[in-house]
Amino acid sequence: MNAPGSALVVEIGRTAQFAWQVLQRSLRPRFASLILPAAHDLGVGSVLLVCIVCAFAGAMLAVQGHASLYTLGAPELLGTFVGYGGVREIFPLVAAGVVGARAGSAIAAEIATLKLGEQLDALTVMAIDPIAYLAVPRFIAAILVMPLVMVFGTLAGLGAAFLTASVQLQVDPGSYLARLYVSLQPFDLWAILIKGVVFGAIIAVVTAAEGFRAHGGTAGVGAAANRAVVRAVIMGSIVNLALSQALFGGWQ
Amino acid sequence: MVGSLVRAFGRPAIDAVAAAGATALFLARGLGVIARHGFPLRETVRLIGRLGVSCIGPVLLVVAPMGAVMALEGDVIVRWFGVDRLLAPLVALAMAREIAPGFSALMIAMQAGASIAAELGAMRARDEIDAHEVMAVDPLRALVAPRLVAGLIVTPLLNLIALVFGVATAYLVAVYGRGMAGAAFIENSLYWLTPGDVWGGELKAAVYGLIITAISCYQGYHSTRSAVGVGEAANRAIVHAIVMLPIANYAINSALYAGVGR
Repeated sequence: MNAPGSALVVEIGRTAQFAWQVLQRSLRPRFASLILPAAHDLGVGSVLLVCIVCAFAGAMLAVQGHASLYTLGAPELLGTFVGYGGVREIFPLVAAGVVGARAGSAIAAEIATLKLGEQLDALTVMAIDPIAYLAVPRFIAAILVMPLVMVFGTLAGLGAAFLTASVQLQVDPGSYLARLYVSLQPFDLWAILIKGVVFGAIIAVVTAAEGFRAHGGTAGVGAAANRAVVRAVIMGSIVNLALSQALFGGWQ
Repeated sequence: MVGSLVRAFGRPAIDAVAAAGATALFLARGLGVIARHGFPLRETVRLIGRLGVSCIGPVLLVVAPMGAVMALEGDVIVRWFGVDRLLAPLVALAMAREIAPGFSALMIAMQAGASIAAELGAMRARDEIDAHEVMAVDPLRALVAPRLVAGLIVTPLLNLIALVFGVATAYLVAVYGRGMAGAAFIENSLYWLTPGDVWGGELKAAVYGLIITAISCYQGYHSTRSAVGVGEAANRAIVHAIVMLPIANYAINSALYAGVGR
């Protein structure tokens, strides 16, 4: 029974178990003073990068949308295209990918370094629960900060898409903005915030779990960080499928 | 106040431009070595196999759900505008031009890019790169050239597989989930999707592959000689690639697709 599939199922189960342990401890966080520094690392450290990458994603949407819509004879529908495709899917996913890559690998590497230096055992000896001390503050910080980072990323993306459309592609700014306003609803802001909370939770839990599971010397730190990022992004994109269907698929 | 603000944004900006320039010079040196001395074929083939096998899972697991998401959400929107027949071309075009190359490259940067940086960084830390030089073996030809070539070949291949799987999941959702006629899905996709779109995606993937391997080779080659330095090199390789890929994407898009209507 040593198929690669069974190992995968075991790992998913362990991560789920870890997520449950983190959730339990998050209800009564014991090290609340660690939340703010973790939030600073995650948010301030990533927001500029998120904005840059989201801005180029917005420019990409504008160029591609224009190329397709122009051949259909409706370039002013570009506002609708960016409103739906960008705000609902691309900007949140891109923001999650950037935070996962930057902050996620840092979380995994830090915890893995502690684990391989046997400092987690030292914490346990001092009667400090390593999960409550290391994972819970980052988890709470991530679900608080990710929605805000996503709002910034979405704004940057929308701004870049507008600039690209009006300056580079010479779409009429007025009709572009009119279409954009029509396509966006207050619910879209809630959807971004909900996606932010979910992606933040996934990034924190998956990367911390990989850190706690690290093994095998100094090379293990790099391997854990690498695995953490890849798995967090895979998890995020699969959960995004269910989440998008739940948020946007119901009404017709 | 203004001075500190300028410094706070200027220093990282200068650093970023300097790193991009140094990486570009490194890439140019690597390509120059390939042009003058060729590249070790056996090592390149081994790397193509290794990178392809390690990346195919992450790439498919990320790109396949994207196709399903586009079919699910696109379905609501095209029904709203009353153009059901445009769902399939919408998905196929977006997949071929953007989603498959972009997200394959993202996952390859995370999986292969980080491992290349960590690998070369570890060789630097163990003085193996210096040993190459001592033995009069050019490390650029022995280590960097095969990785550049492998990235250039593997990324377009994975892009094609991702494209097929992404459209296939969209097909499954549209036909079995939303009751669209399967023949109509294929017919409409093929009517709008031209070979140029697929080749455009392949061109992008090749450029992305070169960017990813150049960045990760540079970071690994120039990492500091310690375990922490190796980890930092791997992290920086991912972050730099994630910033450079959308910028390159924008440039390629502007060249390929922004010309309509002029």
